[in-house]
Amino acid sequence: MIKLRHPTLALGLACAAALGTVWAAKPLDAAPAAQRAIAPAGPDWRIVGMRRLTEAQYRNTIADIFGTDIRVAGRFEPIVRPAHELIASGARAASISPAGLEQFDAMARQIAAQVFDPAHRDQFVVCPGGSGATPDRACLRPTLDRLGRLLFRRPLSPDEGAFYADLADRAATAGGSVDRGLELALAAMLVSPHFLYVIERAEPDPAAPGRFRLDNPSRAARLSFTLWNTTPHAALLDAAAAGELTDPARLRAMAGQMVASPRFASGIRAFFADMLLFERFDELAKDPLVFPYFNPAVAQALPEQMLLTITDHLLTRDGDYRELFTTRQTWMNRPLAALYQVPVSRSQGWVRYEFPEGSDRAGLLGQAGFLAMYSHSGRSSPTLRGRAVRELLMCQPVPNPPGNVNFTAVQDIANRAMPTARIRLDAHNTDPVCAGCHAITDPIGLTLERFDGIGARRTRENDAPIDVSGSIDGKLFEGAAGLGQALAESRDTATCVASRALEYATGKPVDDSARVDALTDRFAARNHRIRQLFLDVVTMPEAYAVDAAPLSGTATRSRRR
Amino acid sequence: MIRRVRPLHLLAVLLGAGAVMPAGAAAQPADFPLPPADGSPLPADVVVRTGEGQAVYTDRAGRVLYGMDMRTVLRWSPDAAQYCTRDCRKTWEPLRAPKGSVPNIRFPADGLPRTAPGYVLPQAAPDWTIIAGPDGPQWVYKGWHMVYVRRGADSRSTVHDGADDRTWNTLKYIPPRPRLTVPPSVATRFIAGAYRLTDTDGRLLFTGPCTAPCRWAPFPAPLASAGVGEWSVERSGDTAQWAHRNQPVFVADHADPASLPAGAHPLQP
Amino acid sequence: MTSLKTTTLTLLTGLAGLAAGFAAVTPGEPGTVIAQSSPELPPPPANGELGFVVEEFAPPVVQGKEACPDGTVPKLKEAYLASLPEAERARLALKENEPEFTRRWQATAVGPGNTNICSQPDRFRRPLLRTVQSPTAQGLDLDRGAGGESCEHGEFTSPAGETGIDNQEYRVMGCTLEWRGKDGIAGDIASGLRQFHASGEWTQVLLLRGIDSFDRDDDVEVIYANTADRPPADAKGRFLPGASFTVSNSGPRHRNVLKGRINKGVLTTEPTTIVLAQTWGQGGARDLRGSRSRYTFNQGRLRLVFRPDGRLEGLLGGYRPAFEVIQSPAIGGVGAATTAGIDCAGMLATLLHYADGVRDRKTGKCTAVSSAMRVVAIPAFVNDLPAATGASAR
Repeated sequence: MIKLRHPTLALGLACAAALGTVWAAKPLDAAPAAQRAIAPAGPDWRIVGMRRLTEAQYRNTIADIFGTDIRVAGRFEPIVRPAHELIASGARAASISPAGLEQFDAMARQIAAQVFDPAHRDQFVVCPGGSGATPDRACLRPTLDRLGRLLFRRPLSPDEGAFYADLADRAATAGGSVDRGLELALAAMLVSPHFLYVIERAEPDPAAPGRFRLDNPSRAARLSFTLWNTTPHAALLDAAAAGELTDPARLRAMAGQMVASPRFASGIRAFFADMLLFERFDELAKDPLVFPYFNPAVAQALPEQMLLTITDHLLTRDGDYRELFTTRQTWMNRPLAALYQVPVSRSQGWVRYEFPEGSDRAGLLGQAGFLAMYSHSGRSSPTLRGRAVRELLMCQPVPNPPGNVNFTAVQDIANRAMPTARIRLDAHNTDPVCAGCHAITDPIGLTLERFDGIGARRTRENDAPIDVSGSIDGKLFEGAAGLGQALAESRDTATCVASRALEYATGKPVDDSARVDALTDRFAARNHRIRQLFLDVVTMPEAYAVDAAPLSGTATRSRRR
Repeated sequence: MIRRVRPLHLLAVLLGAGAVMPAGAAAQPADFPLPPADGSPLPADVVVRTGEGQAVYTDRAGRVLYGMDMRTVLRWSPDAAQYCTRDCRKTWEPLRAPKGSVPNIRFPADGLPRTAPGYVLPQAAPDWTIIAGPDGPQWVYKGWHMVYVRRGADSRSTVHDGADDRTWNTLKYIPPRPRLTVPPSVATRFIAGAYRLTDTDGRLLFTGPCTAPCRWAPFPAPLASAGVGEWSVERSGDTAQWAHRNQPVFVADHADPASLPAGAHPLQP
Repeated sequence: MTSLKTTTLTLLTGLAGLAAGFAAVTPGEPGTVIAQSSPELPPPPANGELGFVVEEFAPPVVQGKEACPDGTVPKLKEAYLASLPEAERARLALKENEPEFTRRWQATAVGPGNTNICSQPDRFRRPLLRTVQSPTAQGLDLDRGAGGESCEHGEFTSPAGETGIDNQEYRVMGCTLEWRGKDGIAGDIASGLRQFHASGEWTQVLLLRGIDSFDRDDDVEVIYANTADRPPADAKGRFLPGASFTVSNSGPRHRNVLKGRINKGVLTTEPTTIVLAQTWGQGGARDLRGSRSRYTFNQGRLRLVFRPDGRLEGLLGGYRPAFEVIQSPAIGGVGAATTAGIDCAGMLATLLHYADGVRDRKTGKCTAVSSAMRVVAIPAFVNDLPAATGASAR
């Protein structure tokens, strides 16, 4: 059990506990204590979802609200990814453990201390007499109301405002300074569920009596976190306050501006990092004896190269999504260039790079990040690679291997009698139990065998030539370039990204295939432009219509089953 | 008997070199970053010469001041302050401190106590101190550089900068850093002859008319900021953006004033 | 498990092969080298350019008992002890007299006016050091065609039998513990230089331009320069081939432009002054990252062999100013003498005694010693900015 030493921690835990209780037992809006703490809305509003901020969203939010020079240091309790879903979906069911909350509390204190330190405080304290006035207790409420609106993404209710001002006032008395009071109240806001979770609220839909829709602040948060991966900016908060986001035309105009902004790149990076399971890069490890070119600088550069390729192709060049699998354009830095054995002119940073024509380095699948991730620590893996292509890019789940498989043949990479992965897998697949699934994955993965376990190029394995012929769903091709072309031509890749985009925006996997099909058709009609896809996803009215049933523990858990 | 001590020759040197005189920051050689003047008053005989190229200190006759980096002459003179005599004196003339001046700095040679009453350490010295030189009290610049002028016809030029393996270096003048009320994310850097405002990574800040579609990168401000001094926050765009005297501020991706976009004005104090 | 074991084995075999290669084809035996390497070399690159990063740069030491039959050069402490009568030696060897002994031998390292034998080696008179006695050394024949510039000196024969080898630096330093090491273990100079070289403080790169043939090409431009880029290395510290480096057009580094020729797989350059960067220490005396110094090779030249595996391997030779050889302990000052026991004054005196190059115009005495560095370079991409911008070479 955690010892409750600090008032803030105690407060945070109390909030969490209250919320947890409500959440587990009965609808939130039925708990008078909780209701008092939540901003007023129409008589029938209800909480319909809570999505925990990801680490990146938390960091981006703090940087946006308080500045990039405010340091955020601490360990973020990870959000668990449900099988075959996005972390964005996991965020809907993510709780915070006592240890995790303790981390948030420590970060909150640290942030608050910086915000009200002598170097920063002047710009954040607002007083009735103007910013030049000597800070006194009259400054507490206006300062905290202002911060509260940004942190909770909606105006504080009068009760909330009074609560935080009173907390600050008492802490100021105890601590002997107004700043100390502000610091404590800010820290309390930063551990509040209203900050740590994006709380989605529904209101009755006037256009459809008996039905509910997401309210304005919830729409603002959805637009912002989906498209920019950060907290709503001033114009969006203002639009929400003015009730504009429930107007489809205004919503579309706002979303249109947001996908046209350079800030959309942050959203696209976050989306693909989620879709392509980039959290795995944190644990990527390679045997240094087998792969001397793998080092921390390379490990760091691998996902970045993929993200730069993605944003450059999809946004800067406004390219066709399908060409992500065939493009020879990418970015290089020095550590990666050594792995790729290509020159890079600049000592620091990234430069554009184009693989030569005829190079087998085609698209995302020819990049070391993908190839290294879907390999073992000491060898490549056609099976892992093929499975990743199926699951991540085509949204086709592949069953796990049974528990009693004998892997001896595939692991014996030094066996001169079976010099290549293809030969070893053939041996392994004489077991019919294995063969079924390998037939789904290996003909894809074997085409990438000219890249070793960290994605470095090779032409031979154990001195034997490597055969990179393969197939996908009956279509035959050669090498990474052939695979890229096949994926580019497959409707499944477009359908997959469309359904992921919708899941990402709503935080729910999509089980309505008709809706995904329609979305994919529109995506195709717009030449597979990612801006159009996301514009569609964040403006489709269906995505804002919600079940009338308010959130309850039972409801939440039932979806997980 | 010879006992194997494993005297790491190189390691000893590392330690030794580190221990003797840790003070890189006051380097005057042209290929290292120059520290700005600390604002303390100049000796009566010293003026700053600006104009073309790097500003330097000169004497009132316009002769360029050179610093003899005491750290470079140890081999010849364990008390580096006494190095320049005989032949050296024929080439270099000391910038003498007023008669009767009391020295307040000395070279921290091996064996001498590090500190002594009335003396400052070179690494913590103000710009101008006085050392007991071979010819009496003599000026020292930034703790390490005994001040001289070059004798002969080219005494007004800087051609001897870096002479004798960077023993002799012109005394380069960088104005004192201005004290400003700026957001914490703003820094002041001396770039191309003037102080400029940059972000904390040294990228230039600038203002100017950014015509639509504006591709300049806004200099981001905290959403929660109410502004500071002459800086306010413009919130109408995608990003909360700093404005200086109501002019939106942008940030370059480099530190070269010559490479700013057309119409851009670098922010200067 | 199996895979790891095998890898290690392969690796060891590889290393052994490498070592064997070094032993068999020493840089000083051009005949063997030429015969071996030329036919196996790949065709020259289409654009005529090859880049390399220098992985090894250390004085070559020929191991064997005959080099220093009386053992390595005594440390200051040992030299002091040896200078005493036997009875006194015995007395000072007693544990209770250690403080007195330490005080007395360390006193030999310091002189009046705060001088010490490493910071001011010219101010002390110390006996000459033990020198290398064997006739064998690695190096180049530097004075063939140098006219009367050189001073009288003995010459070595290379392990492969090449005569006329000039390497007075080795003659003087070759019996110091730091160079020779002990019992077949390389000295600290080898490991120390390797560490420094891997640190990225003064990485060296080579860029060869205009290569038409590995068999014979009379006109190859060789850029031998320092770069501020740190070489990536594997877990054991070996540099990785194929990394990129930039030769800056503004930094305080050195860039030597050499005129070279290739004959049967061996690259040689015409004598000229070659200067390369060196820093000693960290955060030291006057610089940001250590005390700046340099390698100066007067009448310096390279002789490097192209290896089939892509390496360049051989020697850099030239005359180094005597003081430069002891720059490192000189910067170390009194600590180098009293902690590491290095007799800087004795070293400098011996170096000047055996100096065979760069005559002082006034005194007529030689001031520099013939010297050699073993150079091993591996393939790299070298981005030579001064060439790209047309800046003049330094």
